[in-house]
Amino acid sequence: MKRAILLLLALTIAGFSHEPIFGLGPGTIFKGGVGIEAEYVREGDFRGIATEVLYGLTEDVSLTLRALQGFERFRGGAFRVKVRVWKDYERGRVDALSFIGGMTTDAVGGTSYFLGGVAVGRESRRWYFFADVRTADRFYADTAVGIRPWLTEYLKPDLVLLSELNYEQKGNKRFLFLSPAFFFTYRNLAVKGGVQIPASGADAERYALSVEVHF
Amino acid sequence: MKLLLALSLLFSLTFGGELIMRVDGLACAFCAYGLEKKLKKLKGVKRVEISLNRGIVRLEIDQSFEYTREDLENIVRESGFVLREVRRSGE
Repeated sequence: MKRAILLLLALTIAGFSHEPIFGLGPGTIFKGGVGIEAEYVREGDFRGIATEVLYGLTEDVSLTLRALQGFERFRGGAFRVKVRVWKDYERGRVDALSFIGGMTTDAVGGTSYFLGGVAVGRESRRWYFFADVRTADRFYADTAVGIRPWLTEYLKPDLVLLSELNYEQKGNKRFLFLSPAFFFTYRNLAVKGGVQIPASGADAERYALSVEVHF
Repeated sequence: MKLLLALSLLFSLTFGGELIMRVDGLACAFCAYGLEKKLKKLKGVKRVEISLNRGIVRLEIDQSFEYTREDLENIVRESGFVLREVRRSGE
């Protein structure tokens, strides 16, 4: 059961660049842009690698294919569309709201779920704020705040620290995690990671560490 | 009518040489990569410099190439940002 929970989580998360590690943000990749991500996922005795390919159909519509390969066997795949329906810009800041839809397949259990959700966020030079709600096999709600301690310029290494609060509910089971995370980028290369520390309802930490490159 | 004339003049202005663009939405370097990539694909572009903290993009274009404001707006928009202002360096 725990593995099934992790599988769906690992297939459902998959943030993009400067977004929460375990939640989702409204960000989309540039038109014609391609992103490739490899993520190491761990919970309890499960170990796996999630790989993801992202494509910018337009600057407001991103398509994502994701697969989760356990160290023992293939675990499943997911397809997502993210559509940014609102955005507001000023110097060094963008606010946005996106809808997310798609499908995830559990190769072990042989079941599929529709994904649906909405994400809103603010990205600025100093601060990041995100919130999202999603449904798949369960209900997810996430919030995140991030800070860039050093306002480094373009072509310099860039670090953002995040603190997330992740809530999950399936039937009567409820899970709450407090999740410190980071993303470090250098030009078109990003390294992201975080740990979900159980605050309620779960007894094992979840870890994620990923490398993402944009072309 | 005067407004239409003014707008058509505005969009028909062409830019070459060294340009300074004020671009809104430049929050992070990882996202700005797409803008750099698209600008560098333009013919005649010799140099692209992005200042995230100032929200400024400097573009050096060979004098034999010129682009309209609309051209530049489209490239910036497809990169996920908004072009607020463009002018030649020194103006």
